[in-house]
Amino acid sequence: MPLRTTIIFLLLLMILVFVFLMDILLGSIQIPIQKIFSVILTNHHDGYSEIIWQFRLPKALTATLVGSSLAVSGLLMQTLFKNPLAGPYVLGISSGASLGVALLIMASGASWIPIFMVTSGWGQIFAAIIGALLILMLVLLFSTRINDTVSLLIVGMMFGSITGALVNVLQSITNPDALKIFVIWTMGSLSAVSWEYMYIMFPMLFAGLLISLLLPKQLNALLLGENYAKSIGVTVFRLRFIIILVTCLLAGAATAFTGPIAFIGVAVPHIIRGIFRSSDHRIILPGSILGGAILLLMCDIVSQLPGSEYTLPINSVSAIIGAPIIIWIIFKNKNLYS
Amino acid sequence: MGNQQIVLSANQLCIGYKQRKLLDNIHIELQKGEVVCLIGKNGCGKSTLIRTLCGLQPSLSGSICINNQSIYQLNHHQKAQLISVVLTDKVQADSLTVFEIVSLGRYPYTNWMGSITDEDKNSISDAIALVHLEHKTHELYAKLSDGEKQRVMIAKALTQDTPVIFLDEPTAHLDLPNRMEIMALLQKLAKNTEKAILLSTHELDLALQTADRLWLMDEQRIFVGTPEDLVLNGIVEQNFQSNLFQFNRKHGNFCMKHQSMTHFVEVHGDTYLVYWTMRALNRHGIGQQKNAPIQVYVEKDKWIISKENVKNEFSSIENLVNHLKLKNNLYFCVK
Repeated sequence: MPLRTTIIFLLLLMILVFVFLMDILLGSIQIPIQKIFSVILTNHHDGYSEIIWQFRLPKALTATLVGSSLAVSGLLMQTLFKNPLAGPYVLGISSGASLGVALLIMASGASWIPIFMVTSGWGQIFAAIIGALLILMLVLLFSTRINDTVSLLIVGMMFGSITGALVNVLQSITNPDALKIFVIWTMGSLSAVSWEYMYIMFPMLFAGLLISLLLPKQLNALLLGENYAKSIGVTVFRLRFIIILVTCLLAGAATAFTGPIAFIGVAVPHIIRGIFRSSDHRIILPGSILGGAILLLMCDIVSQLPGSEYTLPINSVSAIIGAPIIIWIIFKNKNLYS
Repeated sequence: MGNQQIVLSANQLCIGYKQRKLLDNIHIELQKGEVVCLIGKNGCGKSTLIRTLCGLQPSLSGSICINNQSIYQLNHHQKAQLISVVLTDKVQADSLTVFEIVSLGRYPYTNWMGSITDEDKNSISDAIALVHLEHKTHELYAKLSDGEKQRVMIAKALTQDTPVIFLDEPTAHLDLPNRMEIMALLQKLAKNTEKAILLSTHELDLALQTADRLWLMDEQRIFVGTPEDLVLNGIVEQNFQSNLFQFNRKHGNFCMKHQSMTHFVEVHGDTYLVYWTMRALNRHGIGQQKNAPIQVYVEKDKWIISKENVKNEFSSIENLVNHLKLKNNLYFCVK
């Protein structure tokens, strides 16, 4: 590995540790830095330890994992579809999750659904997972029949449009209270993941990230196009199946637990390619894992508006922070790849 | 030639698509150390044949064997160690460097991470040097010219180090020197390393000069033979005849059929000078005829027209042609 690449990796790792700590420290209540270590390393109990253990630490962990997952699934989609605009949601995953949640919330008026299912997080999570899974199965089914990635991309987008339209229909016929719950879900929230959810979310996302780390060699081959990839020994059909499955696992689970978070998945791979000046997946895949975590942690810090009582929706902050970064990279390099 | 010389053979092969069968009952074989050029008109199925032979596209029926083993029993990984290809597919790996793309040719041999060993590195540098791209080794693919991109993909096929190499239109984007260079390189490679090389091309001149054998494809069948045999038995001529071109058996190339000659002159002088002067005149419908009323005498840098003892002198063929064109009626209509 060239020295420059190693240095950038070390720098990113240091930045990650720094923003992770900052994310725990900063918020409506500022926590002094020495408190963190005394709380985490010793069994010291006070008001701070409660905030750190029950609120800040799970939130920071969620931001790290979800950021990495979205960035990796974005990178996988961009490579699979050879399209710089592809992101984790192009296959209709978030729309599927939205539809599941919308159905659940809007149906909450119906007497046959126990009310605790709707108000508790688990109900929403199950609904989102089932919705995402349903779309995933449809896309996978089509991917075995359609041999061409561009057609598959279009099919995924069409599924997204249909489910998006259904969500709109549901929104227009539902009562304002239920609508508000749904709209809040669509804004995304990292603090929704408490420890009991973490035990489910963590293994799912971690497994997805681990599998993705086995793929860089094959992903590099895919950059040559499917025919060339086959000619040098890639089983393209199987690889495509694995990529879609991993993407759905990563983006589906992340969306189910935190709501759709825009932008990270599309933007981070570009930022990482720009920083490392490379498209080699052996570099940019681990790079995207670090970059995604860093960017979402930064977004979370901003969204907490440190020192104030207010918080902003993470979905908006991620776009407001991330978009200028992309524009800056394009402006600096004249285009995305050089 | 012994049977062990045959690397790849196809029997009763039928190629095409479900809706459209292209060619049936193909029997062909590739031998070690030979360069075979696949020629044929546009759309006759050259690329389909190549894709079918290397297993990128299923055949409709028949068998393809490589080293006496059916390619349908091999997985992608095994196939990649036997056949390498250069396709006409547009490669969109704009953000990879030349070195990175060529190194993907080592894919079948590297570990799960795709780590490059020193041995791989040597093979990659050698291949890049063979296609003369050393100075662009760390350049981005996007910044190369079409010809350079083509050569990168050829280098990728070379590092794959397979007994069979298929190239679909490898010289399409290359200029003349590079085209010659690539053909010479493939010839040398076939002879020195016993590789069997099949390439499709539109350039008949080049194919006739460099191929050990030709596969000439038309709508019904594939003619196989040395270029010389296929020229002498008229198959080349018959397949490429057209109203605009005619095949020159003597030189083995195609020349444009000019409009029929309406006027005639007689040209005297050095054969070489006469040849080039007539080429220009032919283009304007002026032919050569003994005892024509107009005589042209060619000397070095000097063209003299003589008609009824009136002489005009010109310093270039361009001036000569312009004069004849201007004076067309004056010169030719008077019997």
